[in-house]
Amino acid sequence: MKKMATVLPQKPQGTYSFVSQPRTVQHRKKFRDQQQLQQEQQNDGSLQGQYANIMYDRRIVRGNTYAQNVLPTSALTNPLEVQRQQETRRRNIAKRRAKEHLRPKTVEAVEGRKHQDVQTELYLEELGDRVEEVDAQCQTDPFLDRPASPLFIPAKTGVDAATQIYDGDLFDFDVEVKPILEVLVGKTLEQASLEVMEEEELAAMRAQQKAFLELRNAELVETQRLEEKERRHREEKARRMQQQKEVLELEVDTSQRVAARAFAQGYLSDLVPSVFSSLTDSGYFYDPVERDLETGFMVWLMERVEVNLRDAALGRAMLDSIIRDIVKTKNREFEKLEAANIVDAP
Amino acid sequence: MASTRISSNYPPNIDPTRAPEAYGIRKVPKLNQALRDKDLITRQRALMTLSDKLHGPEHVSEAIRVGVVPKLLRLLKDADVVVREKSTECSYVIAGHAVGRAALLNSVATKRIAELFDDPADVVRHFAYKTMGRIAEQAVGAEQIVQADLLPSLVGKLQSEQSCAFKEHILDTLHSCLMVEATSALVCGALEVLRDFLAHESVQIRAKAALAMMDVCFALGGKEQACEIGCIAPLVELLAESSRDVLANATGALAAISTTTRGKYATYKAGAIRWLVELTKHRSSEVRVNSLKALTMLAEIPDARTELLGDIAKLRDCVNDKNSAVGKHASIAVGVVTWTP
Repeated sequence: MKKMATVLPQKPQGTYSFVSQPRTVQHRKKFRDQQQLQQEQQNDGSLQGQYANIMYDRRIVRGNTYAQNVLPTSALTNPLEVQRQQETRRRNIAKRRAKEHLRPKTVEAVEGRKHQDVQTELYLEELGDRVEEVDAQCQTDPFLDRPASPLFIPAKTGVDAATQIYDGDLFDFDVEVKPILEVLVGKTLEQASLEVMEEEELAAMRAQQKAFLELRNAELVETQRLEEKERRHREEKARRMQQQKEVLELEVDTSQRVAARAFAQGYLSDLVPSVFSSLTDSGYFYDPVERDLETGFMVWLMERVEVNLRDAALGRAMLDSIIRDIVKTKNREFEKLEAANIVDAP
Repeated sequence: MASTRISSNYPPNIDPTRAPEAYGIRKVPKLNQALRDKDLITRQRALMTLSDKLHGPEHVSEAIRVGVVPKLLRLLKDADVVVREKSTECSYVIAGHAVGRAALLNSVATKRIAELFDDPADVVRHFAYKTMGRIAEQAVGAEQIVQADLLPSLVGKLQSEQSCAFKEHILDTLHSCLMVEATSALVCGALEVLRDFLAHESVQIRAKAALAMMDVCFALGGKEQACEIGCIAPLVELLAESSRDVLANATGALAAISTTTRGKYATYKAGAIRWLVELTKHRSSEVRVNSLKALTMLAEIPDARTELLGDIAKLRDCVNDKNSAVGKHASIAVGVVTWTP
């Protein structure tokens, strides 16, 4: 809209022109409110924000412009005239105000109350802000579709032939449908009863199977119980037999031990005296004093005797060597003497 | 106006999700042919029609005759979810008949179906578990499952699956397999998992876990392992429940465990006698029989026998029960309780 306003050609200053922004149409109210009224008076009758009829707008020049009665410029320049006009206008306004002021008004409300508008007519009327309007509609008939082109039937040629059909010659639906329907219904019922019977048979078989399973399970449990009992008995029997066997073995063992003991006793009763005698013979039983004498004293005595004998032998040897020495010296002296005698003698 | 000209177009396909059926004897062979088609839509349509048609028993035998089963097993590995779903559904329906189970076992379907346990689509796994449950109902099928070493994967799935319905189907399969062979399940720790499931919030799962535990405990190894990992206390807790199946299976499992001396003492110490004596008056004959059996087992403990001598009148009442099995086992129980060394 604004663009449109700017596009408007700019008229030269000389001629009269009026430009206005485009505006949306405002909703007209049924009643004018007070504020609007005052504004209107100030604006000197021209409605602000509302379109006025352009035909009566004072700002728009109408009629032939050549014959336009142009106001003399000199008349406006007269200050006295201007002043008088202004005064007249002011007086008019003042008079209107005074008139309004003089109108009788409702008395001011008492303190704590306020005035309220009330309808006093005989019939209560609903007062609304909306302008009452009437809608009227009119709908044209829709265009009808083009009807399908009728089937093209070529013009009849040849000779007509006709057949006379009597009653009962043609297919009678009500009669003919009966066997077909009977077959259909019969077949369906047969199939249905077949399926129902099958289901019933299955259910019966299931029930029988269940009863059989019930018996089978109970019997199976009973069998297993008896088997278990049998196994326990067998184990018990084996254990008892094992125990008996152990007892028997123990008895045999004991009797053997007793026999062995008796035999050993019999055997050993003769053995002791002979052993003692042979031991005594081999000198295993001895007198300790004698043994001490033999082992301790006799050894010492022999040693001492040996020492004494060795000393005696040594003394004798010494004496022998002394004697030999003496004899040797005597011999030599005798020899010397013999020699001397021989010499002397002769 | 009517015209005598016949249209060159085929009549409109009313349901585009289904293959048009051939007439009469050509119906199943035609569908069988379409299963092999390269076009995905054709395969899907054929499977949709086939899964409906197989509900008729005559179509099942016909389908097995023309060799649908191997083709279905090949389609189990298809990349398309709908094809996998519908082919598992078809094998589920086929497994509902004895001839179908035999055909599935002949073509060693257990391994193929077990591969679907890891399928991302829930509906495929759902049908896979159900099919496995139906195959396991025959002893031959259960043996094949055990021989294919699928028990560890079943036990693993029992823990990892979130849905209760899936767990129930797996427990059904386990029950059937454990009736045949229990020792291989003990190795893969099935008993620990079953013990944890005894405290599950769903009644059905508790009952089925107790049933599977009873099957395991018929084996000697199962009884010993049950005592070791402490399965007795949760089983005794189940005796306070009101559900018929839970009570019947829990008393049965206790009776099975109590056959060994160790199991007897463990059950006696867990305070089972009080509950079991009450259950001899239960309205279900299965509960009565199982509780009488458990009491017979416990009566072999001297302490328990003296305790039971106080309740001998209740046991004597059961001797004249209208169910002959109850009477028989009650007289055995009375004999064991009144036995003097």
